[in-house]
Amino acid sequence: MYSVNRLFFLTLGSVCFLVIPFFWLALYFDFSALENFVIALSASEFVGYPIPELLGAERGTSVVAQVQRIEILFTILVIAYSFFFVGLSFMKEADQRMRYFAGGIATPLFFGLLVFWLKFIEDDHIISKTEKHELFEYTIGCLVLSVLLFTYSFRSKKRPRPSLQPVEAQAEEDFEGGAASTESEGEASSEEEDVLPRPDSEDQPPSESEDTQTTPEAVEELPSPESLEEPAAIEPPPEPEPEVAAQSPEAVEELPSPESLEEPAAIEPLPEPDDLASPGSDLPLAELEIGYPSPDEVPPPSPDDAENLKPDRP
Amino acid sequence: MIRVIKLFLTFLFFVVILYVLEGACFRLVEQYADFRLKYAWGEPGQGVFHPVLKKFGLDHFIERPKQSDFPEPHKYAEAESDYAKTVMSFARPLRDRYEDYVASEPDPLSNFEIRDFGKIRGLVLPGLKRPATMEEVTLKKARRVGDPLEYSEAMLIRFLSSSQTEDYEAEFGFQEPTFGFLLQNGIACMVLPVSSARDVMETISYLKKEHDLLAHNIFAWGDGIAGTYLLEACRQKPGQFKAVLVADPAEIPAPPLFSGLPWMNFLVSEDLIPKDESLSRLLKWVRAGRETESIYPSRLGGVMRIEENHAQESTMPSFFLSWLLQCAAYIENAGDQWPEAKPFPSDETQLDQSPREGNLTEGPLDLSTVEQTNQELSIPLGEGHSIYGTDPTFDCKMVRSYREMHKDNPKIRAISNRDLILRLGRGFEKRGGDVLEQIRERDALFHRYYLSLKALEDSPLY
Repeated sequence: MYSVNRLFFLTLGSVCFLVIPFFWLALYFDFSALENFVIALSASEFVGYPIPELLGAERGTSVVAQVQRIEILFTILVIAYSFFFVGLSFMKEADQRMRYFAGGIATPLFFGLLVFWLKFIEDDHIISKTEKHELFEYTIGCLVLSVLLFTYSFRSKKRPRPSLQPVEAQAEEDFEGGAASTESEGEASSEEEDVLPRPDSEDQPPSESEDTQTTPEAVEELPSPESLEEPAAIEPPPEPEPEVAAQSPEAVEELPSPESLEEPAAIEPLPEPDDLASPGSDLPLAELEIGYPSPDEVPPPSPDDAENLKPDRP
Repeated sequence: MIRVIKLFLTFLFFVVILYVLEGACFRLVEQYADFRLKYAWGEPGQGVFHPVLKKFGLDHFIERPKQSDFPEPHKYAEAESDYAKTVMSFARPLRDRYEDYVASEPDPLSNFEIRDFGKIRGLVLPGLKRPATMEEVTLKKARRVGDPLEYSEAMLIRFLSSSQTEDYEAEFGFQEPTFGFLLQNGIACMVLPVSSARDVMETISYLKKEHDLLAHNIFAWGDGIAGTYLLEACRQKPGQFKAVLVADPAEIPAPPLFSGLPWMNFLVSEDLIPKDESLSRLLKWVRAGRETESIYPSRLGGVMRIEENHAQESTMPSFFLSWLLQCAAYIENAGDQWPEAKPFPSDETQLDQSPREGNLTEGPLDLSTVEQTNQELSIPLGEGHSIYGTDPTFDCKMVRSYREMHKDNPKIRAISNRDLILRLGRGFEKRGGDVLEQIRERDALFHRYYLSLKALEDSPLY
């Protein structure tokens, strides 16, 4: 199944391909707005240079030739980027795809800027203050953008450090006969998650993704990745209910989680309200702070009230 | 291997970045451009090429085009134009500033006084004053020592071929921004209508005589017919000018056979490039302007530039202005070393010509043959040119005997010993074989002189 990311690049490339025939058809059928735009572009200047001259046209060439040059170069540019986008859509890893995309934008931008500056330095071209300002703005903008994109495209992929600590810990647990609890398995699996590619990202192995694309039935047969790897999906160990714990303290000792063993409040059974209310109970009611009135504060029951009393338990 | 390639590419990348940064500074920062020029060429008047920078192939070290490399005048003119653009590349930040000034300054002459001096009308003064010296008091230029005297670094005269008042006022209005910029640099400016070359000379003589402090250094600028008048005046009295700027001259007279010409700058529109003969004369002017030993004038003293569309009715082209200011700076730093105008004996064009093969005979050296060969190398002097005495140096047996053979020839008398040695030596060399070796046996001093002068000519200082 295609991801949105891939589909975006594939669509972009396809749209760019489609733009070319429409562009030329529009020019062929004298679509005046487009023609005017191209003519205006041929007459406009960048840092005092006419745009066609920056695209390699000689000075003094006719407007028709300049317009044609712009059209051809636009076509070449769009076709090149179409191929580039389509090529990107076939890349397996999303991260790598984005890096190539950033590089594909930054490289022409940077080298275009470099070539422009080389031309500007060599030429006998006098510029005004406004044009200097324009030159500064575009240079800084292009430079910052290209550096950021280059940084992104060349950044090294973070690789996990091979550490012996988890292995040692596992060995210790095994040695102590920690009963290979499900929680420790869950921890191990979560560590593996960090190392292995996430199933919801695009970094799946190619064979898997191909299988996923070709035989969706097989995917259905396989256990869903979410159920395997999401910690919430892992069946948690049954929490000891207070009643059970009170009745069988041995069961508390058998609890898998060492943290739960260390928290006595979690396993200490809470007293039943009935027990608390019984006069023989020697538990201090004030310490419980559950709002029971003291026996002195409670008025003696009337016979009417006694009739309304029902046993709590059968 | 991949690591080495990566390292190399990284190094290359940083070199390119460094090159671009340095180039950007040179292109945009005026102070740095001036600094680099002085670092490469040294201070004006005492400069030598920087030995290390020369190896980097910077713009300052571009080779001057040689006529022998370009048989067609048009190609040679294009090469000269490229040379002018390259060698003046250091002036681009200044030209940027000038163009900004022209575009943005609403009233450029508001702070400067415009005064009439007799028949000279509308001279804009830069307002520079200095105390008078005893010598000036003696010359009755001031009453007392220390009295303020008005002076200027130089004076730019814009020659106008029309004597109509409307044309004068229109031209003055056009040139106001240029004048304003030059006045800030201490250069007095004026527009002067003239009707002939004689008119030009008379006006300049008057200015130099009556207002020497203002007109000590004259920069003359003319377009079209006025440019032709100017060239003619310069041909007749080259010592009166320090710099001559001509755009699209209507006619181009032959250059004077003088060395120590003023700095010459020509601007030619692409569609008004002169025909073959005129173009050759123009190129001779350019080369004659560079014919000196000092670095600055030998590089900038004669330049020619072809432009696409040069509008005559506008401000001074920025190329002219930057070049003019460079000339003013040179005068300020090395004014005392400005060469005097003296006969210009050698013409590179003719020196480069190879003698006819038929005149060359194999066998023992015969001075009559040498004479016959060198007669074709001699320069035809124009009418009305005074002949100066010969150079006392480089005296040797060969030169004396050659002069003895041609004692009746005024052309030979006009040539200095130095140039005669060079010309004779080249003639011997062109004859090939061991002719020069035979000469060495006869006159070792001549041989040594020739080799020294030849090495000097090949040096960048020449």
